[in-house]
Amino acid sequence: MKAQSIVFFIISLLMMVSINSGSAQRFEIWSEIESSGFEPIKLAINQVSIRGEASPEDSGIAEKIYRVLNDDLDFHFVLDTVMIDPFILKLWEKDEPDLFIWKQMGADHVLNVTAEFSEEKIRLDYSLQNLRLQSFRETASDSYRLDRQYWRYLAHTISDEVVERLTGYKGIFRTRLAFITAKTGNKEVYISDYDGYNVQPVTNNDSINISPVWDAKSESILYTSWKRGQPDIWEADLKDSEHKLIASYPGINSAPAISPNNREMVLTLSKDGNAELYLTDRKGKIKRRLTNSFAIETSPAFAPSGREIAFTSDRTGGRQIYMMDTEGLNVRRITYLGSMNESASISPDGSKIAYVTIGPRGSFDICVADINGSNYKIITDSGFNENPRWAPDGLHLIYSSQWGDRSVLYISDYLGLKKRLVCNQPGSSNPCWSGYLR
Amino acid sequence: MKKALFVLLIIFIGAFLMGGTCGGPQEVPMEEPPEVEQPAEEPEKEGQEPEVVERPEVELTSTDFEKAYFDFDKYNIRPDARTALEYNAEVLKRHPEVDILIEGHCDERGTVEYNLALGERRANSVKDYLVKLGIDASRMRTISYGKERPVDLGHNEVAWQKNRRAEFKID
Repeated sequence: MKAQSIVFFIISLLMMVSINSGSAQRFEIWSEIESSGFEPIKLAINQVSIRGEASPEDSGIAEKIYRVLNDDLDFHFVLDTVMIDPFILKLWEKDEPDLFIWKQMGADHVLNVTAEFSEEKIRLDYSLQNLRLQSFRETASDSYRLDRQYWRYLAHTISDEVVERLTGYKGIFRTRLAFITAKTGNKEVYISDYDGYNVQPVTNNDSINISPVWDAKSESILYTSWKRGQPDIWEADLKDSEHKLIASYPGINSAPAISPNNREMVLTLSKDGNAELYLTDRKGKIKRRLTNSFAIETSPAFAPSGREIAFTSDRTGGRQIYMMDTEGLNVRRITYLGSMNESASISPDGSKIAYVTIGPRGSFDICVADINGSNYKIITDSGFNENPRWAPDGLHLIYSSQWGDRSVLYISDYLGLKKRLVCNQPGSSNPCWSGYLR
Repeated sequence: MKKALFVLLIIFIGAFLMGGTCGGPQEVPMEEPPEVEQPAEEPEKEGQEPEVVERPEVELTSTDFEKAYFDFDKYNIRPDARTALEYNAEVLKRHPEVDILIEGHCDERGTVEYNLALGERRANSVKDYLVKLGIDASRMRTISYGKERPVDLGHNEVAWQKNRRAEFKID
């Protein structure tokens, strides 16, 4: 009798295991946000009004500032802008919407901006009114002044303020991008504002340049270049425009990842026969070799702790993403679905990972998942997509997208709901998002 | 009791079969790239024995060497590449003063970084093969360009095959 019940017990245990293991492999569409009923905050933005005298050129700038505010704030993951049809305004017999109309249109908050132009400077005053409070109380206001030529930066400053006041997240509108374009005919490194404006060259060496990476202080850019005839890693100091050679070992020197405390780096070097990962100091001096296998190991990415690294390895025959610590120990595989997963980027709070997968479409798509690989969501649906990199707020990403001859850069939120084209120069690729610059 | 155990066993086997392959990661099958014809480079040289002809003193250039082509994501020497490399080895043996640089290249798919390493594997694979054919390793350098230097800017299997190559340059 006792033997029989033991057998019974073992069989039912095995049954439970076999039923569960089938479903563990199914991929779970991310429903956390949808199920909690997340709704973006609805913001109405009034036309920028002008105080005092303004030339036609100034009025033009005020109009452009309004455009920038709209583009910034409507793109943000946590906000949506409310627009009003001029036809509807006519029905209300108004030239401009007032607070009651905005409330009817569904706005939670209203942003008012006033511009004042002087000889050299422009001053912007903003105020936010909360339509969910009685009497539509003003909840924030401030004022900024800069030389006229920095009107874009002023507009982005206000957008950052609005995001911070309304959502608690730090704004990304004054952050920058680094990327490659081939507009000169050669692949060179460029930087720009987060929205692709104000493009400035970093390299101009008529060689092949790839993989620019911001350092942890967003003060310099590391990149890989063939300017000396082989792939070496260089560092461009953005303050003094000096370029320093960081790594020039025999073979490949590429794909640097910088630790969040800006004290260490992980480089891909093939000097010992095969592409492996090495931990170095900030100047490129090797501290320790991290991987040692017949496989290709590359594309390292630090976790915010600075003690763990995601990387690509083909040790099982296809490219997959792994994690290990900075001793090279505790190696574990993260991605199991799909034949190819690479180009990992870990979110600034360490909770999510973005990477490239060959998805159900059979092409390269951007995937965002929890750091342990679960809760997997593909956020692109056309073209060849590569190089996802997080913005410092952990809510947005940049990636490159290619259709035929066109290779462009998109920014997006991490659910792929709102996307914005930021660079369509020929051969735009290898994007990277800076940290906060202030 | 025995009957109940027997029923349990049947259910267990059924569940096991439905659960599929327990424990192993499911691979999403990747489409094999379509079969590609031999690239039609210099057709008069394909499949022929290397000419053993007395050459006058002529400067060797990279066009005197055949390219070797590779399958997607692979760096092994295919039969057509073997023929190309055997030809190149003959050229090198007849010109012992010449050193070469072997370039490894990839098609545009996949990351810049991985393709850099794969291109290096291809170049090294070619170098190793030439060493086996009797060429001194000290005469050969390797470099990878990853996917950065395609010869064909198309976005189809024909273009991709042309780009998955090793090229020889005079060093």
